[in-house]
Amino acid sequence: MNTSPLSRVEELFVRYWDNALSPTETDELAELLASDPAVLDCFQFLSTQAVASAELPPIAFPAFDVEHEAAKESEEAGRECGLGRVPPNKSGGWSRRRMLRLLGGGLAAGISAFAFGRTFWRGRDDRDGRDGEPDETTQVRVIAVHGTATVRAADGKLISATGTVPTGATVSIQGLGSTATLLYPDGSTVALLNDSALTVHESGRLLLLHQGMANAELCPREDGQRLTLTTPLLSLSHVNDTSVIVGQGLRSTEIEVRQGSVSVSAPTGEPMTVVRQGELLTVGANGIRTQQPIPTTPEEFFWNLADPLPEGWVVGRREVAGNTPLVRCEAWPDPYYNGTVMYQIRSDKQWTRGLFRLVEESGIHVRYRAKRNSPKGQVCFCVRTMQSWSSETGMLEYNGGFQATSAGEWRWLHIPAGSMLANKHTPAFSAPWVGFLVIFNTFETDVGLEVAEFRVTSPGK
Amino acid sequence: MTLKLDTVVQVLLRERLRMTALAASVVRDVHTADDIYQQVVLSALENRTQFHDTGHVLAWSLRAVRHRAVDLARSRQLRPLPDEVLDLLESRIEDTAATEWSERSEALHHCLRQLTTSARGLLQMKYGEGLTALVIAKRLQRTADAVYQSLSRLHRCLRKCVEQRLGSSKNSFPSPPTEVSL
Repeated sequence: MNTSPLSRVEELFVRYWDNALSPTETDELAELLASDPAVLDCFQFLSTQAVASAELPPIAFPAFDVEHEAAKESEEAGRECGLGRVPPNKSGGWSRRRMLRLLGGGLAAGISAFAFGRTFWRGRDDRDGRDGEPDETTQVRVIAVHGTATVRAADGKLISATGTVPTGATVSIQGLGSTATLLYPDGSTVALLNDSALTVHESGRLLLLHQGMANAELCPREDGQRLTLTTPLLSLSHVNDTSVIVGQGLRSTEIEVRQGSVSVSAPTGEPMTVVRQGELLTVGANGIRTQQPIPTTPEEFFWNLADPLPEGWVVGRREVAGNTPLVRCEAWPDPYYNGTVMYQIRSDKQWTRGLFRLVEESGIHVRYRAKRNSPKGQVCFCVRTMQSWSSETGMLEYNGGFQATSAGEWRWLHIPAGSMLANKHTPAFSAPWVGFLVIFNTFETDVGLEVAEFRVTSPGK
Repeated sequence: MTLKLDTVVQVLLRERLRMTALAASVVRDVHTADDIYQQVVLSALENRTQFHDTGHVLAWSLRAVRHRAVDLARSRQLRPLPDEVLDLLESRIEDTAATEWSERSEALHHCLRQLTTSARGLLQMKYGEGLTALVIAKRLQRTADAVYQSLSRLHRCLRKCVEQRLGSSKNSFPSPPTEVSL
C-alpha cells in the first residue's frame, strides 16, 4: 500500500468529490492540506484535472470494464496509467466548455485582446446570416445565462441558448432574477434582466428590445462599428463608450445613462433629445416624455389609491367601496408556480427607479380586509441592489397570513422589513434593498382580500 | 488608475481554468463551477472601475468565486473544507505565476489527450457527466470502491505524466514521485 501524502490525497479526493468522506477522513484531508504545500498544490491540480476532464470531447464506448482495462494497462510499461496513443479527436463540435478551455490555455501565453477575440469568436458557432467573413468587432455571443433563457433563430427554431447569436435571432429570458449577457469581442456587453426579449440584427450592430431591461456597457468604437439600440418607441443610434440602461414597459421606454451620453430619436428617425450622464428619459406611447436627473429611490412610499392604478399595473383591480378606494385580488396564472391560478395583487414593476428603498428597520403597513382566513397569505417585495445595472435580486417576504374580518372591519399589518428576510430567496446583498415589485398572494383560494392602504415608512417612523 | 475593459476581460478569460478549478474544488461539480465562473465574470465587469491592476482583478475574482462556491456547497449540504484550508488554497492559487499555471495546464491537456479511450470514458463519466462512483459502478457492474481506486490511479498517472512533461527542474510537486503499479 502506498502511503505517500500525494497518493493519499488522490485517494481522498475522488471520494471527497462525491461527498463520501467520513468525518475522520474529512479531518485527515484537511490536516494534509493544511500541513503540506505540495499536497495543497496536488489537491488544486486534482480539481484542475476534473475541470479539464469534463472538457474532453465526448467519446462513445460500448462496454467499459474498469478492472479489466486497468489490468490490461498494467501489462505494458509504455501504456501504464491508461496513457496510450489515441487518434486525435475529429469531432468538429465546439462546446462552450471546450471553447473556453482553449481560451484558458491559449490566453495564458498572453496573446492580445484582439487575437483573443478572433479565437473566441471563430468556430462552428459562426452562423451569422451575412455573406462572407463574420465581423469580429460586432459579432455577438450569449456568454452567461442565469435562469430560463431561449434563443430563437429568425425562422422561429430554437437554437442553443449560449454561443454566437445569428442575425435575426431573438434572445428571451423569463423569470425574476433571470439574466443573459451578450458579449462582443471588444468587451462590450448587453445584459438582459428579468423578463426581457431582444432581437439581434446586423451581426449584433442593431439590437431591438421588445420588452424588459437591457443594460449596455459599450466600449469606444469607430463610427461604422457602433451599436444602435431600438425599442418600439425610440432609437439610440451609433452608441459607443457609454453605460446605459434601456427599459421597455407596456406603454413606455426609459433610458438611464450612467456614463457618457446618447442621442435619442423617434422610430421615424426624427431627433428627440440627448440624454447625458446621470439623466433619466421616459417616453410614453402617447408621445409624452420627461427628462430628469436619475431620481433617488425614496425611503417612504404609499399607494395612492384615490387615483387610477399606475400604468403597467400587473394584477389586481381598483374599486371604490363606499368612500374607500381599494385594490382587490384577482385570479392570475402565476408563471412562477407553473401557471397555477392564484389570487394576487401585483403592482407595476419599476426596475430602473425602484418603488422604495428598505433597510431592516423600515416599516411596512397594510390596511386590509378579507372574507376568509388565508393562513399562508403573503406580502412579498422583489428587491434589487442600489445599482440598477446589477442583475442581483432577492425577495423580502411576510408569510404570516391574513385574517378574516367582520363586516365593516379593517385590519392593520405592521411589518418590520427585517422580519421579511427569513426566506429562501432572501437577498444575498446587504441593505439598502430597492423594492421594484410588490406582491400580495393568497395562493389558490380566493379569500376576498382587499387592500385599502399600503405604505412603507423610513426607520423610526 | 482604472483598468481598461479589455484588460479586465483578458485577465478573466486567461484565468478561467484557475477560477473554475477553485470553484470546482469546493462545489465538486464542474458545470456548477463553470456557472460560478461566468457569474463572477459578469460581476467583475460590473465592478471593473474599482480594479487598479490585473493582480487585483485576479484576487477579487478568486475571492468572489470562493464565496459563491462556499454558499452553493452549503446549500447542497456538502461537507466543506475548513476556512483556513480554503484560505491556503486561495492564496496558493493566487501566488502561482500565470506562466507556471499555463505550462502545467498545457502539460495536463497533452497528457489527457494520450489517455486510452476507457480511461477518458471514466473521467468523463465522473467529471463530465457528474456521476457518483456508485452510479458508475452500477453502470459498469463493478463496486464503488473499484471505481474510486481506478479514478485515484488515473489522477496519479496524470500527475506523473505532467511532472515528466514539465521536467524535473520544473517539477511542481516537491515530493518525490511515487512508483505504483496498476
